[in-house]
Amino acid sequence: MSRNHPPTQSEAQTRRARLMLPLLCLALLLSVAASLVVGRYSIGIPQLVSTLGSLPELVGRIAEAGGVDSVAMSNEERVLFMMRMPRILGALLIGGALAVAGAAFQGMFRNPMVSPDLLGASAGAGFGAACAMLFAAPVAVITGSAFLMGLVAVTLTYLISLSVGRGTPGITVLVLAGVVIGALFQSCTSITKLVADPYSQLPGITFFLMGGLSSVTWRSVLVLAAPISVGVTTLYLLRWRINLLALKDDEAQSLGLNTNRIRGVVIVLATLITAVSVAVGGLIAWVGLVIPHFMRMLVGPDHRWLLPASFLGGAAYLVLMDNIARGLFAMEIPIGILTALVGAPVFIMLLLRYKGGWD
Amino acid sequence: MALSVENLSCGYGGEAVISGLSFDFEAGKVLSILGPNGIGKTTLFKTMLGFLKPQSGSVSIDGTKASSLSRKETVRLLAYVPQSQVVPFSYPVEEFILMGRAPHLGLLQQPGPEDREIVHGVMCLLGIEHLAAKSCTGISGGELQLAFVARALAQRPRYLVMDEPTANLDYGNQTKVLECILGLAQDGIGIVMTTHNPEQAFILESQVVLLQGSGEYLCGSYKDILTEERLHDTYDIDVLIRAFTHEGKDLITCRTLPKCNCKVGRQGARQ
Repeated sequence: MSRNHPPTQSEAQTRRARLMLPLLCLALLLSVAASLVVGRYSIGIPQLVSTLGSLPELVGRIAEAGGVDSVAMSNEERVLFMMRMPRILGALLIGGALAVAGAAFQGMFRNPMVSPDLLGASAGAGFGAACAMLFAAPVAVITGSAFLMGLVAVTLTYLISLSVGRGTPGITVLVLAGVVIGALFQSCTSITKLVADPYSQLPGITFFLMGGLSSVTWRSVLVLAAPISVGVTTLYLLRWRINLLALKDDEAQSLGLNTNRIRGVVIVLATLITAVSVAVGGLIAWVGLVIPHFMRMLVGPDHRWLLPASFLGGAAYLVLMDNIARGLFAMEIPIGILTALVGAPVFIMLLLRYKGGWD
Repeated sequence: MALSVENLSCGYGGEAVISGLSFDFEAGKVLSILGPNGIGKTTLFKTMLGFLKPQSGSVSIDGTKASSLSRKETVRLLAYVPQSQVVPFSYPVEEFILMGRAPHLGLLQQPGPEDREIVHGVMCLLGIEHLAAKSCTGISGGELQLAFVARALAQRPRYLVMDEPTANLDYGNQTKVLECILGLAQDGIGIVMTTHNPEQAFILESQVVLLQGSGEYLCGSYKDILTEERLHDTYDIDVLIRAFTHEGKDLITCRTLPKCNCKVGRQGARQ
């Protein structure tokens, strides 16, 4: 900057944010590296290095064979490349994306108790998945159905708030409608559980809803990657405008902002992210709520820094949580339970520390 | 170079809150809009800024019909200063003022060094450059009001629309905001403001639009419009207006004359 006055606090805050981002990157890299060694099948560090070294050769063999299925792999290779890596990538994408969507939503609704599933996206997606499982549908159909019902739930929320608010959806009405629609879809999910076969179907549905990444494959990583990269990139491009959305509506409009359009875009993106995450990993609560909150303490409320920090923080957090989920006990703990167990007390701690203020 | 409102009717749904209002005023002048609570001042502002469609009539900015301008084009000419209110996030004041550059930036564009230069200039103009680093949530009401003015000025507008710029401010800060308004008018910016205090129209020697409860309105110079009878008719109270000379200048001041026969005094509030 060419100005020659002493650095201001906003510049100091910017500097701190610039420092935080590489640190968060490092944290993410470390947690990914650590995750490669964690798991029931023990792989020591020398083994890990040598197996990783064989990756180019393995890729060559796969290309030659024209598919993964017919390639012979050592146990280490299979565990590392076919199970742990997709799972880590899945956790990274879901965690990062949920935190970014949460940060955007919290800014937009000017409220710290907001998470990306505020408008009923995950309740809808959960119902969609449960329904598909009831009919013993293949995985692709379960994913599609979860995604579709997530969108249906948010559309319903939006339509209700439109008809109540006579054309302009007010924020309060939108949030209330979201709560109602969420409750509605949750009870629908309960009905599917009630009619499900208690031996063959109910456990599957229940475990799915508790959240877990054990079934993540390269295919599900691909399913996640497209919508999440679109969602996160677009939100990042809108980062400065999301700052403006935090102002009152008439104020933001008086700055030339088409508030309804931008809000619509943010809602669609957050829904996309949430629905696809639920479709792959089940209900993973609290990530989109606690991580942005925590990051706001580290880098400040400016979404130009908050969004990238939330992505890195959310990704590192979920990767670590998944390690605990699969490494702590002999039996895997559903990750949704873990994130709630950790998230809720952390959030209470944040509230106590800031005495209800959240800036 | 003038802002003109012609035969404007505005309101929500089918109901007109204001009907048949006309006035115009030039850049570099101050216009005070006075009237009782709920008379439709905010509705009028929203219509002028293009958030509400006029039911009939039109608003023109420098000869161009506002309805033919996009929202961005409108707010580059006409900046809105809302009543000072709590900012939900602790943005630094400088970043907050920088938001005023939004109408000049594309949807995915970030503010650059030139925008920061403009913001710095505006802060110096208002004498609040020392606040740049402070958090919006940690400054006084008067300072926050000036930050709102600065944000509007960062839009580089020709006209400022101010909604009760002195509301919630202490006596000293009220006068500082009025001084700021006078200075901006001298710099050639036109200012439309609402106020609940006729005395401010006298201090600013402004043009006046007086919206009366009966649905009528009057506009003209403060001297012609703000008379004791008219203020009595508008607000249903007695007002005293007196001219006097101070250091060779003819000044006018006004004050209210509260009645002593109000019910509270006769019945005794403590019984």
